[in-house]
Amino acid sequence: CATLPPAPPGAAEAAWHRHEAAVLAQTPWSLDGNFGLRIGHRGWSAGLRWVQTGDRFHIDIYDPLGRTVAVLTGKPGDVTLADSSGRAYRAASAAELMQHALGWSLPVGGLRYWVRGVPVANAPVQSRQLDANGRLRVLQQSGWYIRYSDYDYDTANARPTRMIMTHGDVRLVLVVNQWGKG
Amino acid sequence: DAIAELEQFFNQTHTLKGDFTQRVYETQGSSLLRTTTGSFELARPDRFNWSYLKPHEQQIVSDGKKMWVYDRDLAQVTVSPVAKRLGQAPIMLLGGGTPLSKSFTLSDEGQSNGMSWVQLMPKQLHDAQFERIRLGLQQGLVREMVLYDQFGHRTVIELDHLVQNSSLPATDFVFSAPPGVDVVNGM
Repeated sequence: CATLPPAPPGAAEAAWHRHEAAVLAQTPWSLDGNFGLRIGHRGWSAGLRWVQTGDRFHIDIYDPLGRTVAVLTGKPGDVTLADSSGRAYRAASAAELMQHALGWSLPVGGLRYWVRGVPVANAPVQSRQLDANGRLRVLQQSGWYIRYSDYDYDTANARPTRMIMTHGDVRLVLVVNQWGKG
Repeated sequence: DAIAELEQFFNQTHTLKGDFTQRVYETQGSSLLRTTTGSFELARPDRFNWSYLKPHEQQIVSDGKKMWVYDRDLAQVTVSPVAKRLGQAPIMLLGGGTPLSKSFTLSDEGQSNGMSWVQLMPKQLHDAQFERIRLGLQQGLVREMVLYDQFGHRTVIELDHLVQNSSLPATDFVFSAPPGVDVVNGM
């Protein structure tokens, strides 16, 4: 992907604030990607399709053979998960539902922001590092360490296309194959 | 009839290789959710090598006992026992060791768009991965698989450039992790 000429330090910070505001303003958005999750020495890899409209999300999770494993829908505080045998579960938190139905979970609340290359809105940030173009290279928030290793630069609001997130013995690698408008 | 043709395919196909295009549609409608393409090899019973090329490089290999899933971008290989994971995966419909009539009720759906179709309804719905499956055959080979799941998603897998019963080396069905890639147990 094309890289922009490096901006002077102050400019990177200014570019970052413009970029963050533009990304947060964009709704709806959608992505089609894949993720690899590792918890200790056990792992899982799956396909992911995420459509976000304001606070509402629709997330399809596919197994490696392309079969839908679970569909998560709802908004913060009211989430429904339907699994592949047709059972539906409802709870306040997506992570809690996934842990119950699938035995593993994704930090859906944080991912909604992290996956777009911005911190969770109005929540403390432990630390962040910017690249020369004013995009996040590293973010530490709510105990997660997130490294953005690739961006799709040919769109104005460049979105991350590869990120590695760690939290204790959990390692999540997420690759975005396509960004969309929802 | 189509059922006899499917049984003949099952009995006469020891190995099969070709390319595939897999499209997942949402509900009965036509909105296309996801398209993946790649190539595959299978050797009955239960051995296969299913390689996705686009949009994400991923390889799924089974030697009949273990299944490896290798994601190049994720630099990760997960390995798990075949039985637990496969159930009625599309590839197992083609290369499985047990006759389809054991777990499905087969019915002839006649001819359409140049293929003869067989419907497969799972006998035990509770652990079925798909509510309904249709297989399209042409000149004795399965050309298309249509799978309907509990979410109302419809997966259409088209098979092309099929070569039946060519000799495939056993090493095609055993995965050896490239250097620097960690192998983890599947969940």
